[in-house]
Amino acid sequence: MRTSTIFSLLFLAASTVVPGCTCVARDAETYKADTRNVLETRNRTIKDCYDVALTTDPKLDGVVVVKFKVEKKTGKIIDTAVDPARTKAPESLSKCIVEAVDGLTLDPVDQRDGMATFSWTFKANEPKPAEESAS
Amino acid sequence: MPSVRTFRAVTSTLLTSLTLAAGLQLAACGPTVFEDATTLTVVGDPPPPPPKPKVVIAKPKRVEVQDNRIVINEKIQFDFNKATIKPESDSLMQEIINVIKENPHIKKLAIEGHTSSEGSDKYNLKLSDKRAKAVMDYLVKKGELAKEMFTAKGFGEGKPIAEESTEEGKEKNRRVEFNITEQDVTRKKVSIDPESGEKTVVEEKTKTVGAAVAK
Repeated sequence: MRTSTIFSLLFLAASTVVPGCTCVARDAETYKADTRNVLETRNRTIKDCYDVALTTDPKLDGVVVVKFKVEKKTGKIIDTAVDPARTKAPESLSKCIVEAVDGLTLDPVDQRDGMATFSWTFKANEPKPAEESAS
Repeated sequence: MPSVRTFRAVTSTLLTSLTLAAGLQLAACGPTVFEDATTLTVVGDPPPPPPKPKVVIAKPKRVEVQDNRIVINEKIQFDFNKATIKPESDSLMQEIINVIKENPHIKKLAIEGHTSSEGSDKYNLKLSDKRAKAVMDYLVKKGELAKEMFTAKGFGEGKPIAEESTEEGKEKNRRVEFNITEQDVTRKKVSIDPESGEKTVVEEKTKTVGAAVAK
């Protein structure tokens, strides 16, 4: 009687708490991989950011490290910011990347917020040789 | 009926369970922190450098005005031993006419004919004179330029510009020259704004200046 009462009460306690977590619960590796997939949808935009920067300096290369939060309720990437200590790139390029990824949405949403750090490495191809102007 | 002791034990167990469950819940719903060690690599394409400007070597003008003469960088061709201008020199002659018309400051021109030392002095003098006059006639007739504008004279072999010892030198000496003997010269007084660097003509004077004519 005493033992059964205890188990009943434990079951009751557990069942009142568990319904708080009903969404997908990714492990860190899956969370990272899924977020990366979302970020990769902006590859073209980010390349454009870099190509624009290359018009100013054709030999520009560097790294941009970005931190952001994946909001658990919406899956939205928010609070996107550059990690200035680890970023080695012009501000205009960093800003362009922040704007490119900010607001992306992870689907399905996770039951937990994600605190993510991603980095982009930029490397320029050799410029094409100049053509002689036609006249 | 459970005793008070049993009730306390159950309550205590329940509270412990709730605390543990809540703790587990909090741990499960805390943020997942992750960092991607593999960077996303972006390879950019720098724009091609501006096209190299095509080097255009300016062709020297055949006819140009230099100070007090009209320089002809090509020869007026005459029939052999005659004062007849060959048709292949028509375009050159037309260019001379155009240059004279485009430079109204030129008031008078002395056309001089010169030869190499081949042949007698007398013959050369006569031939060069005839050729100078043929050029003048061409300019007056075909170019419709005023005859008063020109004088034409032959100098034979008297005024060589190159050594006569080589064929090349002789060829150089066979020539027609156009010397400007009278032209309008305009002198302008210009003030320059020290701030903008803009130039303003404050005074302009034009006067006709003559040059020594070869005799």
